[in-house]
Amino acid sequence: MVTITPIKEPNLIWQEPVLEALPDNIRGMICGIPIDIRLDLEEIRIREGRPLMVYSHGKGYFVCKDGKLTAHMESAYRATDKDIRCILQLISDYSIYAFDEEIRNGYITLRGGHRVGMAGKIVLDNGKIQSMKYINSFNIRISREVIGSADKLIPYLISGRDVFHTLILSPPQMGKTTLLRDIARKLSNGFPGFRAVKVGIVDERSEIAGCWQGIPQREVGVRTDILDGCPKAEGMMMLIRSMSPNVIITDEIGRSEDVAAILEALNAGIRVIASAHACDLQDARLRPVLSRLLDCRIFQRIAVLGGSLGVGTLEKVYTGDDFAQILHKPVR
Amino acid sequence: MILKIVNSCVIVLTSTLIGFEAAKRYVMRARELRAFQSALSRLETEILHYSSLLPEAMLQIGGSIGGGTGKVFIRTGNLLAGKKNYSVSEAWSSSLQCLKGELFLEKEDVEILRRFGEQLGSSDKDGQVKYIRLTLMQLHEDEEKAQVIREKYERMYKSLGLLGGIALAIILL
Repeated sequence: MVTITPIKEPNLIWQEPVLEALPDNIRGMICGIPIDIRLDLEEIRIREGRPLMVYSHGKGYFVCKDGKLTAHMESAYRATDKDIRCILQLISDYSIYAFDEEIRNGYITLRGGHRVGMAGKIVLDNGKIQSMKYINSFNIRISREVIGSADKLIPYLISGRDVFHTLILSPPQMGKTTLLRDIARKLSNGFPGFRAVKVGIVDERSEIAGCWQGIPQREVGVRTDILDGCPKAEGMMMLIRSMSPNVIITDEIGRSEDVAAILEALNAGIRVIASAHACDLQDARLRPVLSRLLDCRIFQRIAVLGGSLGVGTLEKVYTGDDFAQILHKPVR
Repeated sequence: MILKIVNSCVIVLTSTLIGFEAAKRYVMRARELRAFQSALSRLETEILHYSSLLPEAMLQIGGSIGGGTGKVFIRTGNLLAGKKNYSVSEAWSSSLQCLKGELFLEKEDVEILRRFGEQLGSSDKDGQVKYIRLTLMQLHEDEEKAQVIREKYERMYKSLGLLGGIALAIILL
């Protein structure tokens, strides 16, 4: 029996909730992984009948029975069907029936905001995904928050007590969600020179706040309300009607109903901060919904993230009315 | 003489009590079967309408039902909440096993419950509801059987206790 002891080391706090989701034997193996790898662990991959793997610093390693890492898959531990069944019970708190919706979406969020992705056979009903069975692969993604990632951008987003409508453009994996989360935290906690405002987050994919049973597992600020797992357009309307936020933050807009909801929020005097997948302004113009939003001159600030100085580099900031650049060189 | 009367009274009383005790088994079995049925109906509601998590639901139901039945639910709930790597069916059957001494259920009843545990928590809502209803039906059948047996034996053991006591007292007098 591997006992899980709470750990103070900030880079290892993921261990407690993640280990709770693993069967005893795999718990032992993960605990046996060398500490330098564990400190920066990104993913744990468990596939039935195949070697147990972990990813750290973007590199994959096979894990042996005693936790040693190896490059040879022959000596790696292979997950059994009992392991897989056990993980499924543990991540769902023995209540798979309560996670129908999550399983349909392909992931369950653990306490601490870590996400377990699943793959198996999809059951269709009238061409729509109804459920998943024979679940046989898990990808446990360890989430870490970068507090202070919004520090560089914040001065461009506010003027006095006002917050600008902002669109954040970024290619995938460049820290968009982390940035949104930190913006939410800063605006909702306030900081010298800025009086805190009420923030509403529509977290369609439970990524911004990483909610577990409705409670945010990430630092999103004291004046922040979260609609977890809620479709963006409906969620924005619900927040407007019921929670009177000053700022609404949402992830990955791109459907036409999102535009309608943003317009609605605008008319209600609410500031919107949203993100979208695009490498740059030109790129965004090619996407019909985004180009419509840009043409309407709704957003007052457009920030572009990239990787020129490493993940999360703030590449450009444009004003929304004449698309003039106000950030002259990339900062990180 | 007084001593003899007192002695006889004691004998009759004890033997009557023994008879009642023997009859209690049958009464309690039927009562526990009913308790398990109502607990399972509540579990069905918790799963279907509230999507409650199993450990929580178990503890809640166990707490309000009480008795041996409640203890089984509470023990299972605690085992699961402890995240000690038990599977649901392991936790459930170990609880049934462990609390066997406090339950008046027969082997066949326990078997129904044990089989129910194997499916608990491991499928979607429809599946869970189906298993719960199936188990409820089986428990109901068992309860009916238990009632028939109860009617037959309860009175018998009670009268046997009383009459046996009187007979013994007369012999000893």
